[in-house]
Amino acid sequence: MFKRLLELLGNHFYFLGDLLRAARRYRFEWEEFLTQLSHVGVRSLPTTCTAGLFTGAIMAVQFHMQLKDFGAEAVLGGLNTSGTLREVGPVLIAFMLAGKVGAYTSAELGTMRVTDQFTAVECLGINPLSYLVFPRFLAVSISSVVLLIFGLVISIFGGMIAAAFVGGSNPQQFLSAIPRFATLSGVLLALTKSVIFGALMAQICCANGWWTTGGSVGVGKAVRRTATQSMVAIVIADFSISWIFNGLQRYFE
Amino acid sequence: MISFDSVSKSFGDRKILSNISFEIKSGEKLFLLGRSGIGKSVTLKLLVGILNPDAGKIQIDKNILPTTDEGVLAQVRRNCSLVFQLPTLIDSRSLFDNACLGIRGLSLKDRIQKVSAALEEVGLGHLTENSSNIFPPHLSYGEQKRVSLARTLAVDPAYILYDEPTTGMDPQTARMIHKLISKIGNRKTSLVVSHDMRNALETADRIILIDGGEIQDSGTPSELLKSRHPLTREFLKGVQIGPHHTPHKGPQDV
Amino acid sequence: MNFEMLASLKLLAEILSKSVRWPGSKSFSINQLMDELFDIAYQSLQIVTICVTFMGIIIVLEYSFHMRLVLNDDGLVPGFAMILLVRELAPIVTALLLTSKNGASISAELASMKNTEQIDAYRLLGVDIIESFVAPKVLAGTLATWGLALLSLAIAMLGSLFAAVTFLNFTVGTYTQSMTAFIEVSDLGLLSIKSIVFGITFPAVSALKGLSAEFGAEGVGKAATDAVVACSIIIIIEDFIVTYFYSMF
Repeated sequence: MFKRLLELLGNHFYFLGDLLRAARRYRFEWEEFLTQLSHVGVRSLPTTCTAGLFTGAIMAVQFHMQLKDFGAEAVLGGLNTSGTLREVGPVLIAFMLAGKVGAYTSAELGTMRVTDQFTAVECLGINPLSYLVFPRFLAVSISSVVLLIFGLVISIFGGMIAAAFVGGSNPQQFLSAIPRFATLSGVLLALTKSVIFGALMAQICCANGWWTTGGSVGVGKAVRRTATQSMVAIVIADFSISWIFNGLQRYFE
Repeated sequence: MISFDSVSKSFGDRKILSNISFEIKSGEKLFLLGRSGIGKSVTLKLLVGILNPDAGKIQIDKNILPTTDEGVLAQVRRNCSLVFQLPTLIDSRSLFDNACLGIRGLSLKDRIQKVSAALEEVGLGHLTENSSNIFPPHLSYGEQKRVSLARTLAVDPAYILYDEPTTGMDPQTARMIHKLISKIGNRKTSLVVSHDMRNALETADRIILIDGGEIQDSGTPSELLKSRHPLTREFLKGVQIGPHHTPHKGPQDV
Repeated sequence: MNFEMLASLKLLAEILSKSVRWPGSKSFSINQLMDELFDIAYQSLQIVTICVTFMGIIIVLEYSFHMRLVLNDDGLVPGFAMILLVRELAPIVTALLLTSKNGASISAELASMKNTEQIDAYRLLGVDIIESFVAPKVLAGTLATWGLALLSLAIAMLGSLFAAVTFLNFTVGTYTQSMTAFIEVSDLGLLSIKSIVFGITFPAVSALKGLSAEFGAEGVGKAATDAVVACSIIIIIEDFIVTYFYSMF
C-alpha cells in the first residue's frame, strides 16, 4: 500500500511538471479559461453559499450548547467565527467543492480522453495540456479559492443568524465579539488553507481526468478517485497547516 | 505517396500487424477493410505517429517514421490529417473555434474564409454565418461528424485518413458521409478504414482486406467482385462474422 | 411547486417506505445486504478512519488555541474537543465521505440501468426495482454510516489522545479525566440519530437522482455529479435542524 501511495504521488508530480512545462511553452488560452471560470465558478456559487451558511449556523448552535454551561455566551460570536474560519469551515466547504467542481472537471476531462478528443487535438498540432487542461486547472484553483473565501464570509452570517435564533446573543453582541478572537493569524490561516485546498483540488481533478481509461465506466472511476483523493488530501493538508501554524504561533508568543 | 514497408506491431502477446507492406499512390482512394478489432485503427495511428511500430518503417513523401524528431512529426501531421471515429469536437468551444483548431498563423479574415469554404464543402454552408454562436452539443451527430471533417479540410492536408467514418450511423447519414468522402477524394489522397463493404465498393479506387495481421486480398472493386478469396466472399455477402458485439476494448483504447 | 417536483417527492416517499419495510418483506436477502455493506462500508473504511482521526487531532490543536484565549488554560480542551467530535464531526464527515464515494456510483448505476432500458425490462418481468435494488442500498447505507461513525470516533479518540500527549502538555490520565467529564450518553444518542438520518439520506437521494436521470451518456454523468451535490447540501441542512432541536432540550 505504501508503494502504491508513493507511485501515486510520483505520478501527480510528473503530471504537474508536464502541465506547467506545456503551459510555459505555449500561448495561454484566455477564452477557454474565462469560459471555465464561469462554468465552475459562477455555477457553484449557490452550493457554496448554502454550505457556508449552514456550516456557520451548525457551529454556532454547537458552541452555544458548550458555552451556555459556563455562562460565557458573550464570547459566542468570536469563538464561533474563529473556530469556523480556522478549521471546520474550510474543510466542510472544500468537501462540497470537491464534490461539485472537482467531480465536474474530472468527468469533463475524462470524457474528452475516452472520446479521443485529446488525440484529435494533438493530431492538429496543438498541445492538449496547454490548450484544454491548463485553463481548467487555473480556473478550478482560482474559483475554488474565491468560493472558499466567499463561503467563509457567508458562514459568519450563518453563525450570526443561528446565534440570534437559539438566543445566544443578538447580532450586535455577536459581531462585536469577533475581533477579539478572529485575529490576523486566524484570517491568515483561513486564507492559507483556502489557497492550498484550491490548488490541491485543481491538481487532483485534472490529473485524474487526464489519466482516464476505458470508456464511460472509466469516467465514473475517475470521478470516484477524484473525490477520494481530494478529501484525503484536504484533511491531511488541513492537519499539516494547522500544525505548522500552531508551531509558529507558539514560537512568536 | 505513402508506403508501409514490412511494418509489425503487437500489444503484449497480441500480434496486431505482422509484416504488412502496401502503398497509397497520390490521388488514390484506398479502403482498408477488415473485421472489428484487427488493427485497422492501429494502422492509422502508426501513420500519424501516435503509436510507433515494433519493426519496419513508414514513408510519407520524404518523411520516414518512426522518428524522434518533433519537426518531422509535426510535418507528417500537417500533411496527413486523421478524422477520428467520433466527432472529437470540443464542447466548450464554438463551431468556428473548432473548425479553426488546426489553422496556424493566419489573419482572422483569412481564417473565416478558410472555415466558410470548408463548411461549404461539407454541406454546412448555412451554418457559417452563425458559427461563433453555435456549439457542438446543438448539432446532430451527423452534423458534428461533418464539422470534424471541415476542421480537417481547413488545415488543407495532402492526405486525409478516415477511421471508421460511418460506424454507428444510420444508413442515410452513412451514405451522405461516403458521398462526401468520394467528393473530397477527387482532389485529395484518401485512406479509409472501414468494415462497410457496400459503400467501399461504390467509393474506393482500390480495396485492401486485412485479417490476422496480414493482407488477405486486394484490388479494384471490380477485381474484388470476381475474387475467390473466402474472406472477400464473406464480406461481399454482407455477412460479418467475428466479434461485432465485443465491447470497445483493445488496441483502440491503448 | 410544479408537477416534476411532486413526482420526485412521491418517488422519494416510495423509496423511503419500501426501504423501511424491506427487512420484513419477501425479497429480503441477507446476502444482498452483506454485499451492499461490503461495497459501501468496507471499501470506505480506510479513508473514513483516516479523515476522522485527522479531524480529531486538528480539533484538539485548534481548541487549545481558543481555550488559552478564553480561559487562559487548556485543561478543558479534551472534553470540549471530544464533544464537538462526537456531536458534530464524526457523523457529518463520515456521511460526506460516504456520499462522495458511493452517492455518485449509486446514481450512475441506476441512471445507466434506466438508459439501457433495464429498468423497463425488470418492470415488465414484475420485479420491483425500488424494493430489490434501492432498498438494500438504503439499509446498508444507514448501517454503514452509523457503524463507521462509531468506529472512526473510537479511533479518532485514540489519535487525539496521542496528539494531546505529544504536542500539548497532557498525560494520558489528565486527558481521559477531562474527556470523560463532559461526554454523556445522550451525546452518543445524537451521533446515532445524525448518522442514521444522513445514512438514509444519501442512498435515497442518489437513487432518486439516478431514477429521474435524463437520457444519454451526459444524463448519466449529470445524475452522478448532481447526486453528490444534492446529498451534501441536504445532509448539511439536516445536520443544522437536528442540532438545533437537540439544543432545545
